[in-house]
Amino acid sequence: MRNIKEEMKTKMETQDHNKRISLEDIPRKNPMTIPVNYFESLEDKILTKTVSTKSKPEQLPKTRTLSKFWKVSMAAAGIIIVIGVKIVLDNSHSNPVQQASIQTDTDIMIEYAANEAAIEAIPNMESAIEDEYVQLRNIEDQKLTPINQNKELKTEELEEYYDKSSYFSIFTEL
Amino acid sequence: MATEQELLQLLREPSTQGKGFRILVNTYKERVYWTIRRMVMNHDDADDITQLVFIKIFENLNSFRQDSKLFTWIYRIAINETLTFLAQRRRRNIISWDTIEHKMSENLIEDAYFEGDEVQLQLQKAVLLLPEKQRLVFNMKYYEELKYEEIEEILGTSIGALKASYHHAVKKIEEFLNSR
Repeated sequence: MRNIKEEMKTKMETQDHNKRISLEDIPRKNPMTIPVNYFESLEDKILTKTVSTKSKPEQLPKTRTLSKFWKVSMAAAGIIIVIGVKIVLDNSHSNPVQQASIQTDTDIMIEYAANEAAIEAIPNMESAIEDEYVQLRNIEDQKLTPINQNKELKTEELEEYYDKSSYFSIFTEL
Repeated sequence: MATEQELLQLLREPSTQGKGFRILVNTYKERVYWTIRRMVMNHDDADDITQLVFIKIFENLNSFRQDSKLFTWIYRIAINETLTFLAQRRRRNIISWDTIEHKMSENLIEDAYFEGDEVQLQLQKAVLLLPEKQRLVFNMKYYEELKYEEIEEILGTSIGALKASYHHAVKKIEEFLNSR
């Protein structure tokens, strides 16, 4: 008797397990919920945005608004102008520090070249001064004494002349 | 409670339009909300869309020509706004239909405003797998218990097609539930 009961129970359980779930078996209820007093607040929100707005005595004057096409066009034009200005500025003043550095380098090179030329010119200048001095001495000697071609120039006399010479004073400043 | 004719009379007169609209909101807010909520699942989204629907109703009161019942007109606006919302979300996220529905299904588990048991959760997941229009028909028939004639008027689909759609929807849901 006990075995039959157990057998029946097992058979019923197997039948339950094999039974397909139907939509009708599921209780038709709403599993979704809402916040407390939601519908009251919803009504207030809707009426605030509709009826209350319309019943306001004074309405703000309508401002002239641009169409979407013009807004987009103006934005695009603005971007192009900004990019264009940036490119022009980049080309003319790519980097102030770099520009200053290049300028400084150029100045140094010019100055250096000028100094080199000046230094190279000094011996020629000196010989030119010496020649000038000799010629002057010769003129004086011709007036006072006979010309002595082999006579050596005195160092003190030359230095004194250099001091007076405008050529030399220019190069001493360099 | 005002009848539809009385309500329309109030809405037609500018002096009583505000009062009429208050009655309209009070009468239909819950039905509109739940129609939207069952489609988007999430409360916050449903809240936003419901407000938008009533604003549109208010703005277009004068264009209601009484060719259909007031509720049918309101219902159509609610469905249009909901479908537009879902389409926008799909476009914005640039993700497929399946992905967005899958996401909605996954969000249900953590949703503070979902209190269903495991069977109810599985049922909602199954409903979310249905194509959008089939889901709409299923919700209208199963949860809102609308007549096929009413659904026909709202969606503009023949009763035969609606019956077939509902039948297929039930079959798909049961298959999903039995596969678990």
